[in-house]
Amino acid sequence: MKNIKYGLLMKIMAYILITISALAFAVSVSASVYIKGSDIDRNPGMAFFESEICKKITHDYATEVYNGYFKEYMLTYMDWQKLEDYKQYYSKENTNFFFAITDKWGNHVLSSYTDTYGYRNTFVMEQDGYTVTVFVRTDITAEDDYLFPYKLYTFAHEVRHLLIPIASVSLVVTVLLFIYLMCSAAHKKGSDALEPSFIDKIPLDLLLVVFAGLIILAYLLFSELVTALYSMYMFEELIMVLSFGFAFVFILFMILAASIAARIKLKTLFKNTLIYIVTRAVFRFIWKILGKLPLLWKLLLFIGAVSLIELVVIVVFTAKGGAAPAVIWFLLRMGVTAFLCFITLNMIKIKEGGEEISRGNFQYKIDNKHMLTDFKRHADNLNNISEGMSDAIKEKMKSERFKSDLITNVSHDIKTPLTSIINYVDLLDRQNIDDSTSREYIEVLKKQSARLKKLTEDLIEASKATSGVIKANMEKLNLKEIMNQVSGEYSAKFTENNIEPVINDFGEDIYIWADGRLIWRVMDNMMGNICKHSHPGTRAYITVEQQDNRIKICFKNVSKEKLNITAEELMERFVRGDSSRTSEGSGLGLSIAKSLTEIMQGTMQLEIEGDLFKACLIFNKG
Amino acid sequence: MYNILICDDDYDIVSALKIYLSGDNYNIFTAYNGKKAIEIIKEHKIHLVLLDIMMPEVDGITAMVEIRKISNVPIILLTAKSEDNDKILGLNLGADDYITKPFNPVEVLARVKSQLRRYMHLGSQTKSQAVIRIGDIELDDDAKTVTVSGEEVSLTPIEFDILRLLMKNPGKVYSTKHIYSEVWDDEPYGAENTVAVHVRHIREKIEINPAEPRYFKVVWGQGYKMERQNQQ
Repeated sequence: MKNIKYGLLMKIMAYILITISALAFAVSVSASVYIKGSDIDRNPGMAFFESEICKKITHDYATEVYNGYFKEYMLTYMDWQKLEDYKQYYSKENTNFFFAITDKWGNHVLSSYTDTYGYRNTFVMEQDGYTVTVFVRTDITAEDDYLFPYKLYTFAHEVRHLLIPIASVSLVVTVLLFIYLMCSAAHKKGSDALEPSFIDKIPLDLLLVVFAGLIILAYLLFSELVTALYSMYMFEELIMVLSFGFAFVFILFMILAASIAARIKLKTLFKNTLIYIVTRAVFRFIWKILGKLPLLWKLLLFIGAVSLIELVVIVVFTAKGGAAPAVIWFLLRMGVTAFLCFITLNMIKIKEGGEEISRGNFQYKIDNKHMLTDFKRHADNLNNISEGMSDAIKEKMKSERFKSDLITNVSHDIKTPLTSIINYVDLLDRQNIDDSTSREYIEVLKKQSARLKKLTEDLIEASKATSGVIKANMEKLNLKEIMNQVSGEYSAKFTENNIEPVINDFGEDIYIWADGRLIWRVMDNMMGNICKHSHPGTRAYITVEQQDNRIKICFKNVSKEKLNITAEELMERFVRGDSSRTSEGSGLGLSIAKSLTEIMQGTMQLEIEGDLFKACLIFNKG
Repeated sequence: MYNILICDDDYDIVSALKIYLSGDNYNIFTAYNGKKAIEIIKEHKIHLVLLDIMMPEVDGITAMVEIRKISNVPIILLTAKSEDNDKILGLNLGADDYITKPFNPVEVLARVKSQLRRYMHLGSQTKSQAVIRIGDIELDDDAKTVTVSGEEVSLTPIEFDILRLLMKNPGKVYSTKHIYSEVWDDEPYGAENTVAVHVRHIREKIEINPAEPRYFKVVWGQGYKMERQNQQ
């Protein structure tokens, strides 16, 4: 069905049929209109006799007779043979009229056959004092110019009752075929998809111009032809030419209609026009150039354009005066202000986005829907940066958490056997073993298992501190109180290690913004380090300084081991000042302290100068 | 003779604990999973349970919930998990105390003793006006003595005064300055850190683990306080 429905043959047939039916419709409608205005339905002979065409033919015959036969007859000598020819030419058999020419006194000069019965006096022509009277026969039989129009009139009379049915049927057929053709537009045989034909690809305005040209050309050609044919009474040819002309124009219109239908279906009605293509290209070009221009140039162009308009307005209107310049100036100012506000709003949006990103909120997206190209690109860049950062951080957090989970799980698994080791070493220690070597071994076991315990605990703590599991509960803390408490906690250890702590007097009311429990763990690590690594008999200096909104707490001590290491390395996990790794501690202390300090929005700095070790914690003021 | 149930899936840990506790004259029952522990508690009169959390079949937390349905016996959790959340969960679900692995045997003994004393003797003693009791700690202001789990602890007069000040108002945070002016009855002139030193000494004497005190707590950056009696 589909194959036949939209086949090429089917379409061509439809075009031919629609042309024929449209022609039939046009003819039948115009004929019935003509019939209405004449007498054809009652008396076709009479109607013809009264028609313009009949009068014209009669006039032409009269002129012909007067200028030809009559003038020759009057002015020249005509031999017998020629006279006979004329007589024969205007005989009853060969013409449907006869004529009579009289002079100004009413004397008969020349006539063809005279048989008044069945003739109508149709035409009287006066010239040079002669009167030419032409009589047309009621029953037209001879083959002269009258015959074909007369036949048409009689034919019209015969078919007059059929005209309205023919008009209706042909109208229905035309409409149906039109619908079919419109539906089949842009469809091809055996395919559901819409496909533009060769004609549909031509830009619409170009097509319209070509068609208009064709129609004008056809009109010029046919109008000449029709006039010529009409004047020569070549009615059969005239009808053919008229039909062809109608068919040609009609088919052109049908093709145009079908193409427009196809374009509407393909949604290319406006897109596939030269005007659209050219305008778009021009705009794109301008846009591209504008896009490539630096922002400054754009701004200058804009200001230049506005200034130019202002200048023109001033020059044109200053002479004339009135309110117009003020109004236009005001409108321009409004435009400029709106534009500047728009730019400012764009800037503000981008600035806010930048602030959010710098604050670490990578979830924030700058809304760049209504922005100028440059700002849009800027916003896009910022969004991309934050997206990249967000992804990187997510990835890092994920891997840190994974690492932390791994460390925690492994540490937990280590803890159980470690419990047994510690307990049994302790039980062994309680046995009454006198052997000094065994005692020594047990001591080693005790010491090393204690180290292992400390190491596992520190490991869990360090991984928790770096993976973001620990959340700081920030509050305002009195630093004096903290320093008192910490030095109190550590006083015994300092004495034990023969180290003298010196804390500078920094007054009562210095507050820091930190978490009490976490700050103790940081301090515990710092003090523990001092006790572990200070040279016995030296002093450890703890100083508190206020720097603007920050509080700096520094710990300075003289190391008992040689510090052949950089400060950066020292802060890494598992790194200790002595490379021998025999001293107590896990090497995680500074790393934990640093992570915890950072959780409390603080920073930690290390400095090494010879054997002088200096660690500083910087917290926000509370 | 008290009956103590030790429940841990690690055989060696159970044995070690058994050795320690037998030395202190306790009668020991052992179980290696939660199910067995519940059975033993149903069959015997148990005075204290040492319960591991991570065990096969029935874990420690589930077992504890089951035990709490039938008995009020003190339960000390043994756990390798040291996260605060786990501790809070354990205590909220009915544990009386917890010990994190790897543990110090001495600490285990002290905690067992403390729990038993509280469970067996609490409430039977007469209270005099001068006696302040918080948890295991008893301070007799008349006799100027302090006992922890029934054992007397010797404190210096300053230490005694500090402890008494804090125990009179449990839950209240005293700054070092405040403590100094109350105890020394003098204006502090940069001598407050002596208070901190004394506090450390008191904690070493009355707490089982001074680094993780149960009663005498340090509120960092603010001062010290005696924990309100909240267990049992």
